[in-house]
Amino acid sequence: MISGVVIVVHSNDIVRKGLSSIVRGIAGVRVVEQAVFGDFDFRATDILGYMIEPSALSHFKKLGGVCAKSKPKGILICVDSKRIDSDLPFIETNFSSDRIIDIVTETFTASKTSSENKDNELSSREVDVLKCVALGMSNKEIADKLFISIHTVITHRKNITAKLDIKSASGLTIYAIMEGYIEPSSIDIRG
Amino acid sequence: MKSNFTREHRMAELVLSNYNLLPIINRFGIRLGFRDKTVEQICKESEVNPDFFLAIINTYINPDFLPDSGLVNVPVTSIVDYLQQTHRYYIDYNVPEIERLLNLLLKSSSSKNLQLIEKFYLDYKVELIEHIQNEEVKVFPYVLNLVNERKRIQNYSIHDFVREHTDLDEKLSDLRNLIIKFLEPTYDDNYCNDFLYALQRFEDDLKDHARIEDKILVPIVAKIEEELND
Repeated sequence: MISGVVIVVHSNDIVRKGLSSIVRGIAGVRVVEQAVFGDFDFRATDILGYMIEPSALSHFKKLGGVCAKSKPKGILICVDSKRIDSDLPFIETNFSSDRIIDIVTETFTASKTSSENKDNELSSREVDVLKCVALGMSNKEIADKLFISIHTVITHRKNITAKLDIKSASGLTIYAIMEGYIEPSSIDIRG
Repeated sequence: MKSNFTREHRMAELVLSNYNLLPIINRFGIRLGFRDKTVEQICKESEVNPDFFLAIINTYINPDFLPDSGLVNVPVTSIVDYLQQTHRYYIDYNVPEIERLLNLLLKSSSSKNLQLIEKFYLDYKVELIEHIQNEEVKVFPYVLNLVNERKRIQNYSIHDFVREHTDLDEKLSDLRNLIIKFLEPTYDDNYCNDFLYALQRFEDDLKDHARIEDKILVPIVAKIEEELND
Protein backbone atom coordinates (compact mmCIF):
# COMPACT_ATOMS: atom_id res chain seq x y z
CA MET A 1 0.00 0.00 0.00
CA ILE A 2 1.26 3.46 -0.79
CA SER A 3 -0.10 6.88 0.04
CA GLY A 4 0.97 10.39 -0.74
CA VAL A 5 1.47 12.78 -3.60
CA VAL A 6 2.96 11.84 -6.96
CA ILE A 7 4.15 14.75 -9.07
CA VAL A 8 3.80 14.13 -12.78
CA VAL A 9 5.95 16.42 -14.92
CA HIS A 10 5.50 16.18 -18.67
CA SER A 11 5.23 18.86 -21.32
CA ASN A 12 3.01 16.74 -23.55
CA ASP A 13 -0.58 17.27 -22.41
CA ILE A 14 -1.86 13.92 -23.63
CA VAL A 15 0.95 11.97 -21.98
CA ARG A 16 0.77 13.94 -18.74
CA LYS A 17 -2.99 13.79 -18.40
CA GLY A 18 -3.13 10.13 -19.39
CA LEU A 19 -0.42 9.17 -16.95
CA SER A 20 -1.98 11.26 -14.18
CA SER A 21 -5.35 9.68 -14.75
CA ILE A 22 -3.85 6.19 -14.48
CA VAL A 23 -1.85 7.00 -11.35
CA ARG A 24 -4.88 8.68 -9.74
CA GLY A 25 -6.57 5.30 -9.94
CA ILE A 26 -4.20 3.94 -7.30
CA ALA A 27 -5.94 4.16 -3.91
CA GLY A 28 -4.23 6.60 -1.55
CA VAL A 29 -2.39 8.47 -4.26
CA ARG A 30 -2.97 12.10 -5.11
CA VAL A 31 -1.48 13.56 -8.25
CA VAL A 32 -0.06 17.00 -8.96
CA GLU A 33 0.40 17.72 -12.66
CA GLN A 34 3.07 20.00 -14.00
CA ALA A 35 3.76 20.85 -17.62
CA VAL A 36 7.18 22.21 -16.63
CA PHE A 37 9.18 21.15 -13.61
CA GLY A 38 9.01 23.53 -10.69
CA ASP A 39 6.48 25.83 -9.11
CA PHE A 40 5.29 23.19 -6.67
CA ASP A 41 4.88 24.00 -3.02
CA PHE A 42 7.74 22.00 -1.55
CA ARG A 43 6.44 22.43 1.94
CA ALA A 44 3.93 19.81 0.98
CA THR A 45 5.07 16.97 3.05
CA ASP A 46 3.91 13.66 1.77
CA ILE A 47 5.57 13.56 -1.63
CA LEU A 48 5.94 9.95 -2.73
CA GLY A 49 7.99 10.77 -5.76
CA TYR A 50 8.16 12.24 -9.20
CA MET A 51 7.39 10.97 -12.66
CA ILE A 52 9.25 13.15 -15.08
CA GLU A 53 10.11 13.25 -18.75
CA PRO A 54 13.78 12.73 -19.62
CA SER A 55 14.30 16.32 -20.74
CA ALA A 56 13.29 17.57 -17.28
CA LEU A 57 15.83 15.32 -15.58
CA SER A 58 18.76 17.73 -15.60
CA HIS A 59 16.56 20.52 -14.29
CA PHE A 60 15.30 18.16 -11.61
CA LYS A 61 18.86 17.38 -10.52
CA LYS A 62 19.77 21.06 -10.42
CA LEU A 63 16.94 21.58 -7.97
CA GLY A 64 18.27 18.66 -5.93
CA GLY A 65 18.52 20.76 -2.78
CA VAL A 66 14.87 21.71 -2.94
CA CYS A 67 13.83 18.17 -3.63
CA ALA A 68 15.97 16.74 -0.85
CA LYS A 69 14.03 18.81 1.67
CA SER A 70 10.79 17.21 0.66
CA LYS A 71 12.43 13.77 0.77
CA PRO A 72 10.76 12.14 -2.20
CA LYS A 73 10.74 8.41 -1.74
CA GLY A 74 11.44 7.55 -5.33
CA ILE A 75 11.78 8.93 -8.80
CA LEU A 76 10.26 7.46 -11.89
CA ILE A 77 11.18 8.52 -15.33
CA CYS A 78 8.60 8.57 -18.01
CA VAL A 79 9.95 7.90 -21.47
CA ASP A 80 8.08 8.63 -24.65
CA SER A 81 9.05 5.70 -26.80
CA LYS A 82 12.09 3.80 -25.65
CA ARG A 83 14.28 3.46 -22.65
CA ILE A 84 16.98 6.06 -22.11
CA ASP A 85 20.35 5.49 -20.55
CA SER A 86 19.59 5.80 -16.89
CA ASP A 87 19.40 3.49 -13.93
CA LEU A 88 16.14 5.05 -12.79
CA PRO A 89 12.89 3.12 -13.15
CA PHE A 90 11.12 3.92 -16.36
CA ILE A 91 7.80 3.79 -18.11
CA GLU A 92 7.14 3.71 -21.83
CA THR A 93 4.07 5.29 -23.30
CA ASN A 94 2.97 2.03 -24.87
CA PHE A 95 2.81 0.26 -21.50
CA SER A 96 -0.61 -0.92 -20.34
CA SER A 97 -2.32 0.83 -17.41
CA ASP A 98 -1.90 -2.25 -15.25
CA ARG A 99 1.81 -2.39 -15.93
CA ILE A 100 2.21 1.30 -15.13
CA ILE A 101 0.31 0.88 -11.85
CA ASP A 102 2.52 -2.08 -10.94
CA ILE A 103 5.72 -0.15 -11.62
CA VAL A 104 4.57 2.94 -9.74
CA THR A 105 3.36 0.93 -6.73
CA GLU A 106 6.50 -1.17 -6.62
CA THR A 107 8.92 1.75 -6.95
CA PHE A 108 7.31 3.89 -4.32
CA THR A 109 6.71 1.01 -1.91
CA ALA A 110 10.25 -0.33 -2.18
CA SER A 111 11.84 3.02 -1.51
CA LYS A 112 9.50 3.61 1.36
CA THR A 113 10.63 0.59 3.35
CA SER A 114 14.22 1.65 2.93
CA SER A 115 13.56 4.96 4.64
CA GLU A 116 14.41 5.26 8.31
CA ASN A 117 10.95 5.23 9.75
CA LYS A 118 8.26 2.99 8.37
CA ASP A 119 5.34 4.77 9.97
CA ASN A 120 4.73 8.30 11.06
CA GLU A 121 5.54 7.81 14.70
CA LEU A 122 7.59 10.61 16.23
CA SER A 123 11.02 9.76 17.64
CA SER A 124 11.60 10.58 21.30
CA ARG A 125 13.76 13.57 20.30
CA GLU A 126 11.01 14.82 18.02
CA VAL A 127 8.57 14.54 20.90
CA ASP A 128 10.93 16.68 23.03
CA VAL A 129 10.99 19.32 20.31
CA LEU A 130 7.23 19.09 19.81
CA LYS A 131 6.65 19.72 23.53
CA CYS A 132 8.81 22.84 23.39
CA VAL A 133 7.07 24.12 20.26
CA ALA A 134 3.71 23.51 21.92
CA LEU A 135 4.84 25.54 24.93
CA GLY A 136 5.51 28.44 22.60
CA MET A 137 9.32 28.36 22.70
CA SER A 138 11.39 29.86 19.90
CA ASN A 139 13.88 27.76 17.93
CA LYS A 140 16.71 29.43 19.83
CA GLU A 141 15.13 28.63 23.19
CA ILE A 142 14.52 25.04 22.15
CA ALA A 143 18.14 24.68 20.98
CA ASP A 144 19.43 26.00 24.33
CA LYS A 145 17.14 23.82 26.37
CA LEU A 146 17.88 20.58 24.52
CA PHE A 147 21.59 21.34 23.93
CA ILE A 148 21.30 21.02 20.18
CA SER A 149 21.95 23.47 17.35
CA ILE A 150 19.22 25.67 15.89
CA HIS A 151 19.79 23.86 12.62
CA THR A 152 18.94 20.56 14.29
CA VAL A 153 15.83 22.07 15.85
CA ILE A 154 14.69 23.20 12.39
CA THR A 155 15.32 19.74 10.97
CA HIS A 156 13.31 18.12 13.75
CA ARG A 157 10.47 20.57 13.19
CA LYS A 158 10.41 19.80 9.49
CA ASN A 159 10.25 16.09 10.20
CA ILE A 160 7.49 16.56 12.76
CA THR A 161 5.45 18.53 10.25
CA ALA A 162 6.12 15.94 7.58
CA LYS A 163 4.95 13.11 9.81
CA LEU A 164 1.87 14.79 11.24
CA ASP A 165 0.83 16.96 8.31
CA ILE A 166 0.39 19.85 10.72
CA LYS A 167 2.29 23.00 9.85
CA SER A 168 1.40 25.80 12.23
CA ALA A 169 2.76 26.11 15.78
CA SER A 170 -0.76 26.46 17.16
CA GLY A 171 -1.84 23.33 15.29
CA LEU A 172 1.11 21.45 16.82
CA THR A 173 0.10 22.72 20.25
CA ILE A 174 -3.40 21.33 19.84
CA TYR A 175 -1.93 18.03 18.68
CA ALA A 176 0.45 17.88 21.66
CA ILE A 177 -2.44 18.36 24.09
CA MET A 178 -4.66 15.83 22.32
CA GLU A 179 -1.94 13.21 22.49
CA GLY A 180 -1.19 14.01 26.13
CA TYR A 181 2.36 15.25 25.54
CA ILE A 182 1.61 18.41 27.46
CA GLU A 183 -1.01 19.46 29.98
CA PRO A 184 -3.67 21.85 28.74
CA SER A 185 -3.03 23.98 31.84
CA SER A 186 0.64 24.44 31.00
CA ILE A 187 -0.07 26.64 28.05
CA ASP A 188 -2.02 29.77 27.46
CA ILE A 189 -4.37 29.02 24.61
CA ARG A 190 -5.57 32.30 23.30
CA GLY A 191 -9.28 32.94 22.93
CA MET B 1 -5.83 23.10 -19.17
CA LYS B 2 -9.60 23.41 -18.95
CA SER B 3 -11.29 25.60 -21.52
CA ASN B 4 -12.33 28.97 -20.26
CA PHE B 5 -15.68 30.71 -20.29
CA THR B 6 -16.14 33.51 -22.82
CA ARG B 7 -18.60 36.34 -23.37
CA GLU B 8 -20.64 34.14 -25.71
CA HIS B 9 -21.38 31.41 -23.15
CA ARG B 10 -24.83 31.38 -21.66
CA MET B 11 -24.82 32.50 -18.05
CA ALA B 12 -27.02 29.53 -17.08
CA GLU B 13 -24.41 27.07 -18.42
CA LEU B 14 -21.73 28.76 -16.38
CA VAL B 15 -23.66 28.35 -13.13
CA LEU B 16 -24.76 24.80 -13.98
CA SER B 17 -21.13 23.86 -14.52
CA ASN B 18 -20.18 24.72 -10.95
CA TYR B 19 -22.46 25.78 -8.09
CA ASN B 20 -19.51 27.22 -6.20
CA LEU B 21 -19.71 30.11 -8.65
CA LEU B 22 -23.03 31.23 -7.13
CA PRO B 23 -21.59 33.38 -4.32
CA ILE B 24 -19.10 34.77 -6.80
CA ILE B 25 -21.68 36.00 -9.28
CA ASN B 26 -23.62 37.43 -6.33
CA ARG B 27 -20.61 39.59 -5.51
CA PHE B 28 -21.09 41.26 -8.87
CA GLY B 29 -24.74 41.92 -8.07
CA ILE B 30 -25.78 39.29 -10.61
CA ARG B 31 -28.76 37.14 -9.67
CA LEU B 32 -30.55 34.12 -11.08
CA GLY B 33 -33.28 34.11 -13.75
CA PHE B 34 -30.93 34.25 -16.75
CA ARG B 35 -33.17 32.64 -19.40
CA ASP B 36 -30.91 32.18 -22.41
CA LYS B 37 -28.89 35.34 -22.01
CA THR B 38 -25.15 35.28 -22.57
CA VAL B 39 -22.46 36.35 -20.15
CA GLU B 40 -22.03 39.53 -22.17
CA GLN B 41 -25.75 40.43 -22.06
CA ILE B 42 -26.07 39.78 -18.34
CA CYS B 43 -22.91 41.77 -17.60
CA LYS B 44 -24.23 44.68 -19.64
CA GLU B 45 -27.55 44.64 -17.77
CA SER B 46 -25.77 44.54 -14.42
CA GLU B 47 -23.20 47.16 -15.45
CA VAL B 48 -20.31 44.77 -14.88
CA ASN B 49 -17.11 44.79 -16.95
CA PRO B 50 -17.34 41.42 -18.77
CA ASP B 51 -13.55 40.99 -19.05
CA PHE B 52 -13.14 41.40 -15.32
CA PHE B 53 -16.11 39.15 -14.61
CA LEU B 54 -14.67 36.40 -16.82
CA ALA B 55 -11.20 36.81 -15.35
CA ILE B 56 -12.62 36.22 -11.87
CA ILE B 57 -14.80 33.30 -12.96
CA ASN B 58 -12.03 31.61 -14.92
CA THR B 59 -9.47 32.06 -12.14
CA TYR B 60 -11.90 30.37 -9.80
CA ILE B 61 -12.56 27.40 -12.06
CA ASN B 62 -9.00 27.00 -13.22
CA PRO B 63 -6.27 28.03 -10.78
CA ASP B 64 -3.71 28.06 -13.58
CA PHE B 65 -5.70 30.60 -15.53
CA LEU B 66 -3.91 33.90 -15.83
CA PRO B 67 -5.79 36.69 -17.53
CA ASP B 68 -4.05 38.10 -20.59
CA SER B 69 -3.07 41.72 -20.90
CA GLY B 70 -6.72 42.63 -21.47
CA LEU B 71 -7.14 42.83 -17.75
CA VAL B 72 -4.91 45.86 -17.49
CA ASN B 73 -7.89 47.81 -18.81
CA VAL B 74 -10.01 46.79 -15.84
CA PRO B 75 -10.24 49.67 -13.38
CA VAL B 76 -8.30 48.90 -10.21
CA THR B 77 -11.32 50.20 -8.31
CA SER B 78 -13.39 47.28 -9.67
CA ILE B 79 -10.84 44.78 -8.38
CA VAL B 80 -10.76 46.41 -4.96
CA ASP B 81 -14.54 46.54 -4.92
CA TYR B 82 -14.72 42.83 -5.69
CA LEU B 83 -12.19 41.98 -2.97
CA GLN B 84 -14.16 44.06 -0.47
CA GLN B 85 -17.36 42.25 -1.42
CA THR B 86 -15.52 39.01 -0.79
CA HIS B 87 -14.44 40.17 2.65
CA ARG B 88 -18.01 41.11 3.45
CA TYR B 89 -19.15 37.65 2.39
CA TYR B 90 -16.56 36.04 4.69
CA ILE B 91 -17.51 38.19 7.67
CA ASP B 92 -21.28 38.23 7.14
CA TYR B 93 -21.78 34.69 5.95
CA ASN B 94 -18.82 32.25 5.93
CA VAL B 95 -17.45 32.84 9.41
CA PRO B 96 -20.85 32.88 11.19
CA GLU B 97 -21.97 29.83 9.19
CA ILE B 98 -18.84 27.82 10.00
CA GLU B 99 -19.28 28.80 13.62
CA ARG B 100 -22.94 27.77 13.63
CA LEU B 101 -22.02 24.36 12.22
CA LEU B 102 -19.12 24.00 14.66
CA ASN B 103 -21.46 24.76 17.57
CA LEU B 104 -23.92 22.11 16.39
CA LEU B 105 -21.06 19.65 16.14
CA LEU B 106 -19.81 20.58 19.62
CA LYS B 107 -23.24 20.10 21.13
CA SER B 108 -23.49 16.65 19.58
CA SER B 109 -20.24 15.46 21.14
CA SER B 110 -18.45 15.22 24.42
CA SER B 111 -15.06 15.01 22.75
CA LYS B 112 -12.33 16.92 24.56
CA ASN B 113 -10.38 17.05 21.33
CA LEU B 114 -13.26 18.84 19.70
CA GLN B 115 -13.11 21.54 22.35
CA LEU B 116 -9.44 22.03 21.54
CA ILE B 117 -10.32 22.21 17.88
CA GLU B 118 -12.84 24.93 18.70
CA LYS B 119 -10.10 26.93 20.41
CA PHE B 120 -7.91 26.49 17.37
CA TYR B 121 -10.71 27.73 15.15
CA LEU B 122 -11.42 30.75 17.35
CA ASP B 123 -7.73 31.70 17.26
CA TYR B 124 -7.80 31.31 13.53
CA LYS B 125 -10.84 33.54 13.29
CA VAL B 126 -9.06 36.32 15.18
CA GLU B 127 -6.15 36.06 12.78
CA LEU B 128 -8.41 36.02 9.74
CA ILE B 129 -10.25 39.13 10.87
CA GLU B 130 -6.95 40.91 11.57
CA HIS B 131 -5.79 40.02 8.08
CA ILE B 132 -9.00 41.33 6.52
CA GLN B 133 -8.83 44.52 8.56
CA ASN B 134 -5.24 45.11 7.52
CA GLU B 135 -6.35 44.97 3.91
CA GLU B 136 -9.41 47.14 4.44
CA VAL B 137 -7.64 49.77 6.51
CA LYS B 138 -4.18 49.83 4.94
CA VAL B 139 -3.88 47.99 1.63
CA PHE B 140 -7.04 49.10 -0.18
CA PRO B 141 -6.86 52.78 0.84
CA TYR B 142 -3.22 52.82 -0.30
CA VAL B 143 -4.17 51.31 -3.66
CA LEU B 144 -7.16 53.62 -4.20
CA ASN B 145 -5.14 56.67 -3.24
CA LEU B 146 -2.40 55.67 -5.66
CA VAL B 147 -4.88 55.26 -8.49
CA ASN B 148 -6.89 58.40 -7.77
CA GLU B 149 -4.04 60.80 -7.02
CA ARG B 150 -1.54 59.27 -9.43
CA LYS B 151 1.11 59.98 -6.85
CA ARG B 152 3.24 57.72 -4.69
CA ILE B 153 3.26 58.15 -0.95
CA GLN B 154 6.88 58.50 0.11
CA ASN B 155 8.64 55.26 -0.59
CA TYR B 156 5.87 52.84 0.20
CA SER B 157 5.05 50.12 -2.27
CA ILE B 158 2.26 47.57 -2.48
CA HIS B 159 4.73 44.92 -1.34
CA ASP B 160 5.06 46.68 2.01
CA PHE B 161 1.36 46.26 2.68
CA VAL B 162 0.35 42.93 1.36
CA ARG B 163 0.87 40.19 3.89
CA GLU B 164 1.44 36.61 3.03
CA HIS B 165 -1.60 34.41 2.80
CA THR B 166 0.41 31.25 3.46
CA ASP B 167 -0.24 31.31 7.18
CA LEU B 168 -4.01 31.50 6.78
CA ASP B 169 -3.99 28.65 4.28
CA GLU B 170 -1.77 26.51 6.48
CA LYS B 171 -3.98 26.86 9.52
CA LEU B 172 -7.11 25.90 7.62
CA SER B 173 -5.40 22.79 6.35
CA ASP B 174 -4.17 22.04 9.90
CA LEU B 175 -7.73 22.40 11.14
CA ARG B 176 -8.95 19.92 8.55
CA ASN B 177 -6.18 17.44 9.35
CA LEU B 178 -6.71 17.70 13.11
CA ILE B 179 -10.38 16.85 12.68
CA ILE B 180 -9.96 14.06 10.17
CA LYS B 181 -7.07 12.41 11.98
CA PHE B 182 -7.70 13.02 15.66
CA LEU B 183 -11.41 13.48 16.32
CA GLU B 184 -12.77 11.06 18.92
CA PRO B 185 -15.69 9.16 17.45
CA THR B 186 -18.41 10.60 19.65
CA TYR B 187 -20.01 13.09 17.34
CA ASP B 188 -22.94 13.47 15.00
CA ASP B 189 -21.97 12.37 11.50
CA ASN B 190 -24.14 14.83 9.64
CA TYR B 191 -23.09 17.85 11.68
CA CYS B 192 -19.46 16.91 11.25
CA ASN B 193 -19.83 16.44 7.50
CA ASP B 194 -21.66 19.76 7.12
CA PHE B 195 -18.88 21.45 9.05
CA LEU B 196 -16.15 19.91 6.87
CA TYR B 197 -18.03 20.78 3.66
CA ALA B 198 -18.37 24.39 4.79
CA LEU B 199 -14.71 24.48 5.74
CA GLN B 200 -13.70 23.11 2.36
CA ARG B 201 -15.80 25.67 0.47
CA PHE B 202 -14.32 28.45 2.56
CA GLU B 203 -10.79 27.17 2.00
CA ASP B 204 -11.33 27.11 -1.77
CA ASP B 205 -12.82 30.58 -1.78
CA LEU B 206 -10.02 31.94 0.37
CA LYS B 207 -7.38 30.45 -1.92
CA ASP B 208 -9.09 32.04 -4.90
CA HIS B 209 -9.24 35.36 -3.07
CA ALA B 210 -5.50 35.14 -2.37
CA ARG B 211 -4.77 34.33 -6.02
CA ILE B 212 -6.73 37.36 -7.20
CA GLU B 213 -4.77 39.58 -4.85
CA ASP B 214 -1.38 38.09 -5.55
CA LYS B 215 -1.70 37.45 -9.28
CA ILE B 216 -4.03 40.24 -10.42
CA LEU B 217 -4.13 43.17 -7.99
CA VAL B 218 -0.51 43.25 -6.85
CA PRO B 219 1.05 43.09 -10.36
CA ILE B 220 -1.26 45.83 -11.68
CA VAL B 221 -0.53 48.10 -8.72
CA ALA B 222 3.21 47.39 -8.96
CA LYS B 223 3.06 48.41 -12.61
CA ILE B 224 1.30 51.68 -11.76
CA GLU B 225 3.96 52.37 -9.12
CA GLU B 226 6.64 51.80 -11.70
CA GLU B 227 5.01 54.17 -14.17
CA LEU B 228 4.75 56.86 -11.50
CA ASN B 229 8.46 56.52 -10.81
CA ASP B 230 9.38 57.55 -14.34
